[in-house]
Amino acid sequence: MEIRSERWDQRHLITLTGRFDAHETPRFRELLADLLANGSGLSVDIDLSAVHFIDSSALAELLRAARAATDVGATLVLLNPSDPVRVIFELTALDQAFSIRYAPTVPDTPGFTG
Amino acid sequence: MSAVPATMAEAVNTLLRAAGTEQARLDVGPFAAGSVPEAVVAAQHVLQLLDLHEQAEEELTDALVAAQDRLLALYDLTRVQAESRDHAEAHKRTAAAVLTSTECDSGVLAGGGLLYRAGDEAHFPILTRIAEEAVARGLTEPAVWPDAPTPTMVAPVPVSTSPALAIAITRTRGPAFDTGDVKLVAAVAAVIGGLVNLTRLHQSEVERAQLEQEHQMASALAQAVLSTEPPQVPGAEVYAECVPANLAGGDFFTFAPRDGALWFAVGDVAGKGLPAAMIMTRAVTAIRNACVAGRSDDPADVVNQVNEELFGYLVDAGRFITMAVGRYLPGSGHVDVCNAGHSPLARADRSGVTVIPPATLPIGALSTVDARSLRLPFDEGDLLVLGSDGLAEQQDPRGRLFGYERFLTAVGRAHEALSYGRRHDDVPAQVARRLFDEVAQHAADTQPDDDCTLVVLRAAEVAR
Repeated sequence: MEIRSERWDQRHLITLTGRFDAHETPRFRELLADLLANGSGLSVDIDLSAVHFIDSSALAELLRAARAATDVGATLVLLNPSDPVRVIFELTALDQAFSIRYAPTVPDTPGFTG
Repeated sequence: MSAVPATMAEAVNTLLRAAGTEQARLDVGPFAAGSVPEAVVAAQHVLQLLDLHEQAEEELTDALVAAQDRLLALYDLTRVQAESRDHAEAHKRTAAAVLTSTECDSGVLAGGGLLYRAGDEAHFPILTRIAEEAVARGLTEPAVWPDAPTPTMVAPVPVSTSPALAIAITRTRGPAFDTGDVKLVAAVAAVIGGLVNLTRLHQSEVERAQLEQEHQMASALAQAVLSTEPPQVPGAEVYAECVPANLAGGDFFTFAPRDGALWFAVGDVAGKGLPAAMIMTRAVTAIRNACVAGRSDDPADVVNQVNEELFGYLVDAGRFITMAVGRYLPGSGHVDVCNAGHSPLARADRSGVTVIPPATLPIGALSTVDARSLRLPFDEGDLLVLGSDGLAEQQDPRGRLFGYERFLTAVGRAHEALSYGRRHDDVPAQVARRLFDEVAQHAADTQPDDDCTLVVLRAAEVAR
């Protein structure tokens, strides 16, 4: 899985591409931990539009990230989950545990360079 | 005819006699030129040269013997690993061969708390200090140690794992160390390094084997919570099977009979292997207790109770559990199921196959859930098939998933073919076999990436 991380002021966009499974969770966790270390007021968007497979370990990792964000006063939003990811969200009812937004990847905030 | 002379001295005397000179006169002082005949002087020269020759020959022989000994010692050094019965013997033979091949009296191998000594004990303290010093300095090439009381060489021992090691050897008798010795000592150090590597490798293999054994035992213990046979509840035919992708996994099922009803649960702890299995055992215990000891007839109460009990634990572990809990009272015409984010769950009756959707989030996702059960019609011959995502997500060699659609289709076919008009109580087992077979066919030898679990419940005829 490819992890791309871009920041503009208090907004952060993480773009995941590929297969998100147990092998990838340590890297993802590390990135989120760094990000949320001073995460108060931070807004983290995780773009899932290019994730073609997600397993339960990765779901648990997303859940952990969402909790960690809440704990430090940041907000975490899952952006544009792909069809395979959306199916898993629906099957597990975990869509109720996340903030999910369907929107253009790059917010139309002036200066958000992505 | 006189005898042929046997030695050079005899030959010289024969020549002297032939020249008319007495043999005894050979013993007069050396080179008294003029006073003795030239033949005697020449004979003295010949005999002196002969002496030198014999001396050289003797020295050469000694040197050859010594070289032969060193060669044998080196040969022994190369054979030690193959011929020793254990590490202790290998170490002892290596040490002896090292000292012989380098013509040293005493040697020490040290570094990182390790100390191995051989030869003359009197030199041990100094050699130990020198070898440790060499390690501390990060010595990279063999060298003669300058400040040693006796001629001493040090060499780093090339090892593939830490800690670094060095040898220090001293030669108190015999020739001083020369450039030839540097190469020899480097070779000897390399052999010692090989032996150390082998010993360390063996050690780590032993540790790995022990760990592996413990892992196997722990896995077997964890999976043992699934080994109990489903309880016999008249009117409810059940088959359950869990195939973990590894030795143990997070998938589980459990059953409990209460007041004539069969309680059942199927679930999946997020993650894989032994860590997931350990959480799984705790979940199974919690679910079973809630089913057996509960007063409510509603499976949703079990889900809520288990979530309450395990939520903190699961948050700490960073996991969640998808599960479905159900209750079937034979003859009631319905089954109650509470699905907490688990899939695939299917019900098959005469009109086809329907999916049982999640009614709430997985256990451990939210601190409080307000789970609700679904009441589904469940009559004679109807089937409830509770699988796990490992089945639906089994890949074929080209990476395509078996998929939820295909799973439902397979359930429908198996149900149609097997479930009605049968009296055999092994219908659930046959259905499970078919489903597993279809998934295996799809996989076509692609290794399963996740645990696969199937629980099949069939409403059988009830004696009235």
